[in-house]
Amino acid sequence: MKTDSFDVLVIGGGPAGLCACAELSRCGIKVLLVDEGPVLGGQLVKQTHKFFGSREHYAGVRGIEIPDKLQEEIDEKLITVYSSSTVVGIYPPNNNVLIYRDQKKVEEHSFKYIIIATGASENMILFENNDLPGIYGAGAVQTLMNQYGIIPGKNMLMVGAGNIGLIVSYQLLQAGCRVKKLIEAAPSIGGYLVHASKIIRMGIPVQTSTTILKAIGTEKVEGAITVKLDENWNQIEGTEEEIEVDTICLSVGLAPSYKLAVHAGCKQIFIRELGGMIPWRNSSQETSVNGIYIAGDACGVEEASSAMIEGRLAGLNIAKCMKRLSEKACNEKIDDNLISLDKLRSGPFGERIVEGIRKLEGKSYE
Amino acid sequence: MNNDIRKKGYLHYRDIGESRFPAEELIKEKALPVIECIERIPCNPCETSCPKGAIVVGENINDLPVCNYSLCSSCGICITRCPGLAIFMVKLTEKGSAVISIPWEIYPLPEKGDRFEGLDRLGNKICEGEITSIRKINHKTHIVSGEVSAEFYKEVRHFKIKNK
Repeated sequence: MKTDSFDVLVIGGGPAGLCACAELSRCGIKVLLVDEGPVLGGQLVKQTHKFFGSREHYAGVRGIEIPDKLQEEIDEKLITVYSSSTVVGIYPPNNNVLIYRDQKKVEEHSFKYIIIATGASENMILFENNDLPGIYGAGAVQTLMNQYGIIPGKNMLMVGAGNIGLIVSYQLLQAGCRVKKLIEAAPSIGGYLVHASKIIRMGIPVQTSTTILKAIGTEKVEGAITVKLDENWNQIEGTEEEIEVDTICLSVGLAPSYKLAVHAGCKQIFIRELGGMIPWRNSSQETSVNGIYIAGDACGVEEASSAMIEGRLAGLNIAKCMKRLSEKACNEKIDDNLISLDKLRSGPFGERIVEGIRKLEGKSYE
Repeated sequence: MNNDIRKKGYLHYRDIGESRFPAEELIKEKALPVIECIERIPCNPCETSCPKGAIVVGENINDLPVCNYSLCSSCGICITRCPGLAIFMVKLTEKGSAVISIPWEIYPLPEKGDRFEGLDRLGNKICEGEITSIRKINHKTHIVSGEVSAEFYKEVRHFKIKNK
């Protein structure tokens, strides 16, 4: 067992994790930040579009520029970063943690406080031949294209018209690919209309109530067959259409990456509005296990802007428990963040989240 | 929100509403923004970036922006700051044409004098025109202006540059 000089472990260096580190280091708290990627920022490092929100949440700033801005907030002397490293287990009752450092060696640490900010992973859907080379998740396409400068294909079929599907379609156009069609199984577009408008006016056809039936090809994708759906989501016979594409990009939702929390013994709860199975948490972002906090998409799929606030809340609540800041100062900052969170969720797109949070608050594991 | 709009996913200018277009006598005087933001989402960079305070979202960040055209200096900063690329600028000229300025994030950038097909919000070609100016902006949402016949100023929202 390694004797640690760290006060807090933050798992995941995306928007939630970095904001947690910012608040913790501001209070003079020593943090170990473990991130699986080679650079910090999580999904932000591939978000080439400008963010919505308000100025204090980096609205109008491109996602790729936000990690640097967040790191400027962090006191480097107080944060130790293990990049390209993974937390492989959290063991109760003492929160012993195994870290696979640098993909080379395993270290064991123990922490009184842990913030899980592991984000979410992409969903997959079932269709014939969905294992053919040339079928990607939208996140993988973004990583290849925006992070490594590799174009995944020339002619694309995009599946899913949520914000990610719409944004990645636009980024594919920017990269010089042709998005031949965007299909969405629901009867209407799920993402923001402004994102849909900007690809439709550039000539990408969007077809709602349509899903993918199968991918065509033997060695790799050569095409796809789509089919229309009726109001009960049943396939309408005779509406099959073949489309010639070399790449199929799936953008069919995200699921919280909550496995570490389960491992640590955190109680889970199923809340559809927050992305399915999630660890229970209170309004301080603390799970049912004393000292383990959770923030960002790992506890409910939402936006980077709300993940950042949740990260700050988790950090501030730990600072409060550790008495590193006066209770009054802590409470003021916490209230400010809770108010911003409410504001972000107050529009029609926040209704689903608000309903999910209501269900969460209806249950207590404290 | 009209469900029909969410179903088709784009806006016809009628969906935007006449009241969100500046009056024609105003855009004969100066270029003015058309803010095609009709959906309540938490966002306000148009308001915070406007140097004249002409655009107001207000206390609730989900509210829709409103532009006070008399304060607007036609600087175009809002075009480049809107994360939704939903702000355009229009100006009617004396010779019966319209200059439309659109946010541009596609490379290579067009050049002045390039001919283009004017596409409507559905991506259909409805007219032809010529690029009149390119303003390069360092945060990479540039402003490209193109001239089309005045009758199309409410509808052309993308320029498909013709091969030279």
